Amino acid sequence: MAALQAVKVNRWVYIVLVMLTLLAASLQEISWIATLLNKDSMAAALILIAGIKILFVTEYFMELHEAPLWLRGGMHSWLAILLAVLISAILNHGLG
Amino acid sequence: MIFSDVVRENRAEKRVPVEPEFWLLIFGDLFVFSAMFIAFIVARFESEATTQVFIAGSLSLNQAIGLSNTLILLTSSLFVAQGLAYFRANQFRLANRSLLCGIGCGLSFVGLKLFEYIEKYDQGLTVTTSDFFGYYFTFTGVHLLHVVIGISLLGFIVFKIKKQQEQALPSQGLFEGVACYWHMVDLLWLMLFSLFYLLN
Repeated sequence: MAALQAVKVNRWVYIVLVMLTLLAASLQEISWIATLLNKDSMAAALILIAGIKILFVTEYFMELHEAPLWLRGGMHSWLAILLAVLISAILNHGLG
Repeated sequence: MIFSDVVRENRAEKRVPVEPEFWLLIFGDLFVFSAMFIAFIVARFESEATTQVFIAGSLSLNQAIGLSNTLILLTSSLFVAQGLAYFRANQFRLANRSLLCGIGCGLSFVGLKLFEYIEKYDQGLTVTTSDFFGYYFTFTGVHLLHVVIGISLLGFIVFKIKKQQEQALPSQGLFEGVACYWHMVDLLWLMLFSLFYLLN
């Protein structure tokens, strides 16, 4: 029963992932966002959206929301560090 | 039930999907790709000229194929996750059908990627054209190899389930491992798609 409940949850997660993907792909076409954000902020936003999607994939498809803290924390730490490095490199135009 | 019992019960419910050792492989792959992502960003912002080269490279990619491939991999991940849920519920026919759909999506991804490579080759864009295309062909090529390995592993699980003999059924741990590997391939593409196709 719990296994089949996961089928329903996965469908909702999939819909969220598709919506986020379409949002990211059309972000630069949405005029009010394009005027609100400069190029670098837009790039940082796109990386952040990718990070949110990765979080959904790890939590629900990889089932880490049921995993012990060391595993879940390890994955979250990896993602947080990767996003921090990539976004700071974008905003500072490099890591130097 | 007192609070400590609730905490104990919650702790007992926590479980590691797949064998803990398997996660070393997953994290190893994630760290290698992370180094690649960071190398890409550092190269992009090396100078104003390199930034322009990377922007021009990104604009010359086929955005429709990139977006389609992202949606295809997400759909395949859904099918694989559904397949595992059906397998756990002993609904082997549905599990197999879901996995076959996942494999179909994976093959579509490979087909579209190869079409895109050929398109770029016809336009005279190769691995030596610029730094951008050097990174593009290397990173997406390594990722494509992961996709092919993932499809083979999913095919192996389908084969094992199709035999439908109790002793021939794959263990749940093996299925979970292959599913996790496939989802890792998916999440790596999510970042590759953003870096190569959207940052322009």
